[in-house]
Order: sequence, then structure tokens, then C-alpha cells
Amino acid sequence: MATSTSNRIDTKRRKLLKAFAAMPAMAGVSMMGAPVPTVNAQALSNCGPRSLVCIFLAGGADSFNMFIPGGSRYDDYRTVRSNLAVNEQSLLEATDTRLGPIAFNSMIDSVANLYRDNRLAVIANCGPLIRPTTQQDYLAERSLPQSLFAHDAQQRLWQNGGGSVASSAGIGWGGRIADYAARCNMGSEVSPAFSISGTNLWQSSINTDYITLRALVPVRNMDGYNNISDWIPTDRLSRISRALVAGNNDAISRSSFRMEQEVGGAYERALTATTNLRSALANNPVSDFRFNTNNKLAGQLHYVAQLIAAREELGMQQQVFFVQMGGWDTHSEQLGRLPALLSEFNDAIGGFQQAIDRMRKSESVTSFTGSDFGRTLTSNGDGTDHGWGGHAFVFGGAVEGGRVVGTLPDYSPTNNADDTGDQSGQFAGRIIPTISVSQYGATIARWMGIPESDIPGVFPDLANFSVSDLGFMRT
Amino acid sequence: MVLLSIAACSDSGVQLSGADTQPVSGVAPNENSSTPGTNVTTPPATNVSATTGSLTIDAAARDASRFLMQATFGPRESDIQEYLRIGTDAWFEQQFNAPVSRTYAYTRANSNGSNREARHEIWWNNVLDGSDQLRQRIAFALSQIFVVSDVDRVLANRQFGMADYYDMLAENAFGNYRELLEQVTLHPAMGVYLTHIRSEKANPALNIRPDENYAREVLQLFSTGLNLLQLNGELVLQGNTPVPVYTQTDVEEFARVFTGWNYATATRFDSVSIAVSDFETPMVPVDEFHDFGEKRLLNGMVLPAGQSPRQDLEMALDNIFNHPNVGPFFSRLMIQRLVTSNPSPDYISRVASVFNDNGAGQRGDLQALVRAILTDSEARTLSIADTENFGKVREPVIRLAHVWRALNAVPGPQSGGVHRHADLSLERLDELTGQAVMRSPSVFNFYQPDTPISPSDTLVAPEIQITTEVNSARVHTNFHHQLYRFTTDTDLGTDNPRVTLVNLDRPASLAADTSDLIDWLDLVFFAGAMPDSLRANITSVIRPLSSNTSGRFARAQDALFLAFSSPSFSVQR
Repeated sequence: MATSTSNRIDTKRRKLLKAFAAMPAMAGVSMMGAPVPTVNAQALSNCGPRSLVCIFLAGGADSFNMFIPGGSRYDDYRTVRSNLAVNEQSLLEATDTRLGPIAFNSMIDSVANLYRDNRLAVIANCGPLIRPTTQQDYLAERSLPQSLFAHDAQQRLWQNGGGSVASSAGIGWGGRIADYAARCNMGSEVSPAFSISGTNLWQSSINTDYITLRALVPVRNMDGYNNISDWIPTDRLSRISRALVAGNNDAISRSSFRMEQEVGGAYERALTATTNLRSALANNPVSDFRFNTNNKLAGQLHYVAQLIAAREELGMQQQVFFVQMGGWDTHSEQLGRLPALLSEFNDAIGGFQQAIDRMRKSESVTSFTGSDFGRTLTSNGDGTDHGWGGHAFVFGGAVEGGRVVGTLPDYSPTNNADDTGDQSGQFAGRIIPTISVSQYGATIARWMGIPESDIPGVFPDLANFSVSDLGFMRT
Repeated sequence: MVLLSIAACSDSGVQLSGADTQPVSGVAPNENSSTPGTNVTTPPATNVSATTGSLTIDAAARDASRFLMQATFGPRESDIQEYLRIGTDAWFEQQFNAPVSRTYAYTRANSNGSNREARHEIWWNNVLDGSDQLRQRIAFALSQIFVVSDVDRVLANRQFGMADYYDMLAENAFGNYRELLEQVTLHPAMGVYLTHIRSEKANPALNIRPDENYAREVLQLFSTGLNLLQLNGELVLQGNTPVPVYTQTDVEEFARVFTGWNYATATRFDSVSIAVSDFETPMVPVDEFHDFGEKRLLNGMVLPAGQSPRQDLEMALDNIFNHPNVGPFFSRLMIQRLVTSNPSPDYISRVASVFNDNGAGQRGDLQALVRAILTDSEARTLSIADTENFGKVREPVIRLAHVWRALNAVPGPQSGGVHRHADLSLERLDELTGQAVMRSPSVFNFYQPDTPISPSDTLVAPEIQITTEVNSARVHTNFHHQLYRFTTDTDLGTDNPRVTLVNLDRPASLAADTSDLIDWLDLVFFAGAMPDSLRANITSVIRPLSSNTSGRFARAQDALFLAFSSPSFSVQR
């Protein structure tokens, strides 16, 4: 056991040393034992309890059928969406002080209710942009994000936090937030960042590795480590435990092969996670968050809810979560597929927010959606294709909700200046965003306590926009 | 250096992997599994320094093991021996001519179309015991490029179509890329997955356009990639900016090409009863829904107005196939699946040149491509293998297959003759490893070719994307359960009698001398590249154990567990 503990500290120390190199303001942390809480006051002035949840809708969600314009704009919407339009009987109406009547698809009543409760804001027509971009810019190919309309490229831009491929292309803005969160969590050996949906760019960071868990799979012991095994005879077990740890240490610190180092790091983080999370998760089952186990997003968000409930027990101030729901690439059968997707999304976020409310942590938990891109306003017969701008939702007790941030695009198929147009100059319904991901992300990052002086480094394109904070977070 | 006398071991009665059963092509799992639990508990004594047919762990043996890690689902001791005996050329000939192991007939017989397990049962049986190892390895690689996945809710219930699609990949593994691309394009499983089946010409009055899904992904993922490449795979740059291969307009043009295709047995285009749709016969054209207008494709090619759907499709696929990007783009992807994640530009260039011309003037010859990848000096030179960035993280499914192959795994006594892992059924293996055949989360496969090994690194390691904490912990625990609970020598008692059992007789027979055991492990599972620190680690754990019968078995268990749990076992160099 002693071997395994010092091993964990060794790895953490390596990570911290890298962090120290970047942030010389920090001092006074014991390298070998418990951290000493004498860190630079200014660096940690924003360390209130905060948990941030990124809900990524992979494949390009048809957000134009989630949030729908009201009043006269609805007629344009209905015309342009033809056979895919949500009819008036299936709308939940609400209002925005600037726009007047707006509506949500009745399949997402949790979203509508949070909006009416002033705890959810709609970020209208958002997407990766390098700078404010007009139809003329698009046609002249001026300062356009690379590989528009391609899933992976646009996911990368969303999660990287801008429209241009930054020099830190492999880093996500969630990872940058996690770097700050890690400094607030000196009482914890575990990373502040958790993905319940596999590897992602959004949480990638040089200094802070995130932990990947899987929905519905409890954290279990890694048999053979820590002298735990029901099957290895006890006279052999302790030697094996020591050798397993030594083997990882060798791979991480002595192997000259990069891939072996990385695999060793994954084993070691897995062990750290199992050792540190098991009891905290067991103590915080959040069993009042009930969900259908077929609802994969709810399963992920349940894990998030458990970790948020265990936040203090884990010695954490701040946490950064990534969950993801796939299946949104509705090129065909949209009329059949989209309702099922919306229903899953709706049940998951509704149940999650209720669980957070019951924990009385609403003020310290903010969730937001992102997606590859919005989809075409036009139909391809029974589905929609890859677009650009789309609507996003941000919700929680710290959100200035009940309003639409930004402007709605023109939904009309004639003389539409918000549209990229198709090959023959006809209307295509690929909408040019009017809010950039960097503006959206920077507003959230400030709430997580990233100092203003560091914001431009995280969102390099932000300087091209006149508004750097969209004002939807209470601080 | 210790001599391992493989042939002599065979003479002395040790059961060698595969020596007792002729690999059978595509047979039902329960037809070629031996009865488990009847193995002799006491391993026969083996004279490891016997003289006949002895095999030293020298450069040739190490290369043989490495080669078989790159080209098969993992070497058994007997495979290494056979490869050394017949040599590379004869081995290729044998593999190119081996009968194709298929999945369709078994899936048809054992699934109702929605039951997913059958497809995985026969796939595992084929990759474990099939004689067409190279073909199966290539088919698995192709299934990760021309991706369809039954995570899709329609394909989940089309297991016959899924199996047929995989067999199509296996049949074309040594064929021509152009023919493969056409069969991929017209397969209903792909038609459904990337939604070009029943895509129709534009209807401007209703603001309806052709579906762009397949048009985009066939270019981005199956053939050219996003940006112009040099022959060596490096980007063509204008200033500092990559040059796109195609524009959104090109996607729209290809989308028009792929209009008017339907299920072969469907009688209507606009509303097809899924119940009668045929997922095994290539899609057929329906003129009424095809866009007959002129289309402008890549590099100035113009499809004249009025061509039939099939003429349009053939010319469009020719247009894609002949784009100079395909050689370097596809070659790199295949090298990454087989040999190394970061091939040098020269390596890509050599392989892409073979794709462009197999030496007899033919473009797209996959047999020549596969041979070029595996016989290239960069794949074969041991001094290159030992450089710090060479190799790849082994795909978890292939690692598990290797363990089962090399340890003569047999299905559990109450398994009905089908394989099963300790914690999960085969069709849910993706929940353990992040990977199961044709169950990727999206058309972007289980991992992407440019995944950096760590954030912002220029070194890539696609499989790192699924080497997550939860997957690492679960795979580790799976090996623990396999070795300590589920062997042919352990008393299952009340433990799960359906789990596949590994046979440790061979390593136990060598364990009287710890270095003989470790040498064998090193050769079979590490291609002779086991790090010294791991060797020392294993030695320190097993040396205190007795060298009597039960002690030798314990030594084999502990040595294998430490080997399989080590980061080096996850890496193929």
C-alpha cells in the first residue's frame, strides 16, 4: 500500500511540476506529503465551489427544431422546413423581452420549463467563427474556419474554443478551465476533470489529465493492485501488487518508448481513480435521480450528479465534466429519429437538474450544450444536412435565464443574407453564425474563475469580436 | 541466451497451439471447439534445451513474431515456427489462397436478425481459428475505414446485412480498391448507415435537396481526406494553409450523383417497408428519382447530362479512385492499422507508389498494398522498431485475441461452444475495451488517425483514444479473471461455466527454470522486446515459488498476469 501511495504522488508531482513551470506564482506546496494550503492568494481568489457540465450533442443537433421562432418568423420557419417543420400544436410558447414570442419543441418541456423559470438561456445562432462573418465574407472565402461542415473538424473547433486552428490545437477550453480548477482542489489527489463519455478534445490539457468513467459501470477495484484479489493466493498477492505498481512506474518514468509511457499513465490514473473515488461514490448514490437505463445521457449525468454530490467529500472546490450524446446526424428519417433523441435529452437534463436542485447546489452547477454544427434549414427529403450556426442552451441557478442571447437568423428562403447559399446561388439554409464559440466559452470560463488576463490566451479569436462577455452568467 | 526447443517440445508431447486442429473456414463455433476441462492437470516434463529443431530468440525469431503481430490476430508458438519454416513468400501465398472465413451463414442460422451475439460469435471463431489470418486482419482494418456500425438503430436489427457487409470486406481484402469502393457504396448496410439509400433529386418547390451524407464521407473518410497530400502523405501547403481536396459545392455535386438508389427488392421508392427490404443484395437504381443533370466533379471531370444512375455512379467512383490523394491517404490508414501509428513520409511514399501502380500497371491492387506494407524495410528493421516513437498501441480486441490464440483458449464447459469473456458477452466487448467489430460510435471509427498521443503532441496514437482509465481498469481486471479464475486447470466450482478457458500447460511446462518461461513469454507476446525491467519484475515475483507441479502452474499464472498487465504488452513495436 505504501508503495502505491508514493507512486501516486510521484505522478501527481510530475504533473504539478509542469504546472509550476507555467505558473511561478504558486509556492508552498509540499512535494512529498499532504499539500500545504499556502498558495498564492490572488491565483486562488476565484475558487468558489463550481461545477461545470458540458453536454455535447455529437453529430450536429438539429437545434432549429428545438428552439423555434414565434410570431411572424414562425411562418418563414414553417415554409423553409417544409415536411420537417414542427407544427404549431407541438410548440411550447415562451417570451423574450426583446424578441417577443418564442417557442420550444414540446418534446423538450424540461428546457422550456427551465427557461420559463429564468434558469435557462438560449444562445442563438452560435458556432465557430474567426471574426464576425457576413455572406460576402463567406462567398469571398475571407477568414473562414477550416473544413466547414465536416463533423470532426467542426467538433475540434467547438472544443478548442475558436474558429481558427490555434497553436494549441490539441488543447480544449474545458482543459484550460480544469488547469485552474486543479489549483483550487489542493485537498484532492484526483483530477477535477471527468469525462463520462470517453476521450474528448474539450477537456484536453497539458497539465491536467481528465479521468474517463463509463455510465452504469461502478468504479471497482483493479484486482491484483493494493493487495486486493479474491482469487490470487495471499502468499503471492503482495509481491504481485508491488510488481504491478513497479511495472507502471518503470513504463512511465524509465521506458524510452512514448506509447508505453502513455499506457502506463492510463493504468496509473485508473488506479488513482478507483482508490480515491470508490467510497465517495458509494456514499453518494443520488438514488432519487431515477432514469431509464436505456437513456445513455441520463446514465452519464447520473454519474456527474454523484460526483457533484461527493464534491466536498472528495476535497474538491471545482469540477469540470464532459458528457456526450450521439445520434444527432439526422440525414434521414428525421421525423422518426429526432423525437426519440429529444425525448432522451429532455428526460436526462430534467432529471439531472432536479437532482442538483435537491442537493441545493443549483447556484454552483452550470450546464451547457454544444454540437458539431447546426443543420440545414432545408430538407433533403427526409432529413437535414450539415450546417454551421445553431442554437445552444445554458442552464443552472447561476444563469441569467429566461432570455435569448443574440439575434435570431432570418428563416426566409428568399434574399436571405444569413445563408451561405448553395452551388447555384440558391438558398441552402446553412446559416452563418452570429455568436462565436469563443464568446460563448469565455462567458462561461469567467464564471469558472479564469482571470480576465488569461481569457485571451484561452480564446485567441475573442479579440476580433466587440462583445467579449455575453452576460448570461451571474457573478 | 536460452534455447527454446519448439519442435522438440512438440515431439515430447506438449500440445502446441493449432497443432491439434485444422483451422476450419467459417464453421459454427460449436463445431470445432474441443471439450474443455479434460486437460491433464500435470504438464508433461519438457526438455527446453533439447537439440532438435531448437529455436533461439534471435533476430529471425523476433522478426517472425513481430511480423505475425502485424499481420494476424496474434502469433501462437506454432505460427512462429511455421513462418520461420516456410518463409515470407510462401506464407503470403498460403494466406492469399486460404479459403475465406465468412460470418453470414452462421449469423443467419443463429440470429433472428436482431440478436447481435451470433455475428460476434462467428467473428471471434474466425479470427481465433481461421486459417485466413491475414485476410481477417485486413478485413478488420477495412471495417475501421469503410465504417458501418450496428450502434445505428436500424442496423441493430439487420444482423444479416451486417454480417454480409463484413464478408464483402473480407472477400475484397486482396482485391482492388476500386471494386471494393463500389461494393461498399452499393451495399444496403452502407446505404442505410450513411443514408444515401433512397436519396432523391432536388425538389426546389419544397426546398428539398439531395442527401449529402455519403457524398461527404466517401471523400473525407474513405478515399481522399480533407486536404491535398503529397505522395508521402505530407500536406500540400499554400503559404501555411492546407489546400482542400473538395468544396461544399463538390459535395453537393456528388450528392446529386448518388440519387435514385433503392433496396433491390423494394417496389416503391418513397416509402419502403423495412420488413421487406433486402440488406444483402446491392442497391439498384430507380431512374425516376435520379438527378439526370450535368455534374462537375473533382479535377474538372464533367458527367454529361442524361447518363443513367449507374453510369453516373461508375464515373464518379472512377473520379474518386483516380484522385492522387487516395494512394497516400489510404496507405497511411492501412499502415496505422497494421504496423505503426507514425509512418515516415518515405514509408508512406513507397506504399502509396505501390497503390498507384502494382508494378504491372494496375492501380489499387490491395494484395500488392498489403504485401508492401508488411515487407517494407521500415516494418521489418529491428533497429527502427526499437526507436522511441515507433509502433502502435495494440488494438484491445487484437490483444485479447492474441491471448486466447497463444494460450489455446477453449469455450467454457457450458458455453454451448461459443466464446465469452469473464465480465461481458462478446457483443458488449466495446463496453470493456472501447472496441468491438462493427460497433464504433460513429463513422469516425473507434479512434481517429490523427489523435495526438498527448495534448498538442505531434506524435499520433489513434488507439490511445480508447485507452481510457475505465477501459484500462476493465481490461486489466479481465486478464486477472482470465488467469486466476478461468483456466482449463482451475476448478470452476460455482464460477461461471460459460466463460472461455485458457490453457497454461505450455508456459507451466517451461516454468521450472524461470528464464525459460520468461523467454517464451517474451517471444510469443512481446516479439522479443520485453523490457529488462519487466523481466526482472516477473522474475522477482515467480522465483520464490516452488518448481514442483503446482508451483510451475503458479509461476505461469503470475508471470502471464504481470506480462499482460504491463504497458509494454499494450504496445506493438
